[in-house]
Amino acid sequence: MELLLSAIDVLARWDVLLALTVGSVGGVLIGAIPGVGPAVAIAILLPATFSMDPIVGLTVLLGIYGSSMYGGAIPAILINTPGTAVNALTTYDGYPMTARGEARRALSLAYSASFFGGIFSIICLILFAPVLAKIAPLFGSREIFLAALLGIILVVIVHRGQTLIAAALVGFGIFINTIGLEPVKYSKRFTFDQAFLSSGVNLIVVVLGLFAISQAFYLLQSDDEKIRLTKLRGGLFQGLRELARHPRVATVSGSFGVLMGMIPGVGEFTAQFLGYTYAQRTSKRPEDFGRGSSEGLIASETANNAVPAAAMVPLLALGIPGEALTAMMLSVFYVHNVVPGPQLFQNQMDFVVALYIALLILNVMVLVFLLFATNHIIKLIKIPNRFLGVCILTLSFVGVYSLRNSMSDCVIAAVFGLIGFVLKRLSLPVIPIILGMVLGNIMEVKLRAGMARVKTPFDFIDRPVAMILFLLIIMVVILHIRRVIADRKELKEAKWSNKHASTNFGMHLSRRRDYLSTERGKAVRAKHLTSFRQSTDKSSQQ
Amino acid sequence: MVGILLMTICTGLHLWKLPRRRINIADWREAKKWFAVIEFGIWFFVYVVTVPIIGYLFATLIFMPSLSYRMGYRTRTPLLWSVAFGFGTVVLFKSFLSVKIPGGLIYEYLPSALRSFFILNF
Repeated sequence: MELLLSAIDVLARWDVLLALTVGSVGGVLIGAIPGVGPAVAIAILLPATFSMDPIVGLTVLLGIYGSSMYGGAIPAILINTPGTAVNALTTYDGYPMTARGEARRALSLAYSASFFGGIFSIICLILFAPVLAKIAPLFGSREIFLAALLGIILVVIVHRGQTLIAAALVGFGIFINTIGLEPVKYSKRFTFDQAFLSSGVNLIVVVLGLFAISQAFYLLQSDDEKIRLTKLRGGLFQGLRELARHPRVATVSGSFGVLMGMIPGVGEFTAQFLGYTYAQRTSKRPEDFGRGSSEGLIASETANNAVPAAAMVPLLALGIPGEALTAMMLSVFYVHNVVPGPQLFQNQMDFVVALYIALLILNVMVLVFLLFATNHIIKLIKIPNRFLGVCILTLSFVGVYSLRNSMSDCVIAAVFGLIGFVLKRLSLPVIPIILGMVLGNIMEVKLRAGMARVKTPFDFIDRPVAMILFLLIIMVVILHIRRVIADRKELKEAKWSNKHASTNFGMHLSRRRDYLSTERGKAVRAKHLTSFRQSTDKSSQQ
Repeated sequence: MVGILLMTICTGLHLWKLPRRRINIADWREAKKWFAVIEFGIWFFVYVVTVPIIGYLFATLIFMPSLSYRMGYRTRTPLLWSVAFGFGTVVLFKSFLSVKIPGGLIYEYLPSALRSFFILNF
């Protein structure tokens, strides 16, 4: 109780409340515009928060982080384009509902499900905080190194079908992070005697390049789309009632969100996938999924909104970000002189609880705002793509240039913008680069610190938490190898399968052709052999 | 070293696993799109270079409508919107949030009272 009161004391300031309002409203608006995600907004606004008080700056950015997914559901449901990447699954059931004239019901259901997901996860974490405070001090340098390594491995294997290139991009991120002065002995690494490389490549510059500038480039070279919007009539309160009819789906999806959010490197997509699959399997009408099922919508929105609060756990307790947004939040914390890690949980527990309460208030504010202002927000979807590109490019300048007033930072950001654009065109992920940079740095520092007390290799994992993490890493790697082998087997079977009519005919033709050409070859060789037996048969010549 | 090795080996393996085929016209079109984006990079760079010379406000007020015009928004309404957005951005970030963007060289020629006002706010 005392902790709760001191946490409320941290928040009870007019500037914090104003920051919370600006962050939540801004997050919804940013989420509602397809093409501008929370990553772009946080990267642009981060330098603007440098001059603010730590809790004020953090609340603005936390507000954007926590509320953008609410806004992202609006274009996903109304025009089949997710506002933020994590709302992709919402389009599966949200848009078919709009198509059959139930846009209001879909939006109301999405808001209610998101609200439930957010609140559920925060309550879980507030209850879980005392346990975390006991577990967090058990993490020393070795354990944090292993947790970061687990995070990197999970980031790679989560990109199914793109594992190799995801690993290469993680490697690229680690490499970028090593450029500049090395943290212990200050020897130069990969600077090639260039002054602008000595200070290293700043994470914010890379994030702005990969997310904001690349997105601006992408929008600038795309075409404007004509968007037709259906007008919403009536209130949006019915969703809460409908949500109450599916408590099991909402609770299980919310739990998936909390669990997946806490595991570094996994995040919203896996949580949504698990929640959605569970809802479909246990539903009485599984055939409705993908055709406007209310349960599907509840599952995806609850799961993705339960993640942000849960993702703050590894970030605050261990200082390990699990995804791109929390990686950015980590730099936000550092900038504001708050060092996440076990020490934070031990010494500044009121600050941690204050952040959770801020998230709780934020969810209520966002829901109220959305219930009354949706009709006005949907106009934002109509902003033309290329005009949006011009705006993002202008805003990116503020983010990059105001960091260090450095021209070379702007050039580096533009180069990363180009890299991000090419990756986007090739449908390759950029998140592994960011996590490679952040986790690579953490791993390097913690490995150096941890190795001081390690004499034999076994010393590294002789503590219980380290051993558990080590076993987890081994298990994850083995499971991945098993899955790769199973995938290969499936692919091979599909190649030789004659189950499908389409592949059957083509495969038959190709096999027939191969067979005929082999037979023909045999016949020709046999003919040649009989015609020129004398000249080739050496034994008969002798 | 770990980063470089991971990067090279995995890229090599990824390229090795890709299906082999000849470069066709669609690939050239895609490459053209990649290179076309360099133009926007140059626009950005010119904007960055001009800010310390003519000041953040004027550079933004020129950049926003020019790039909008280049992108095909040639009627009055979007151009006015672009000017308004540019002005709003400068006021929000420089005047209210006081982000660190240096004043333009051009402000030196202003009368002293106006000069400090412009350097601080625009």
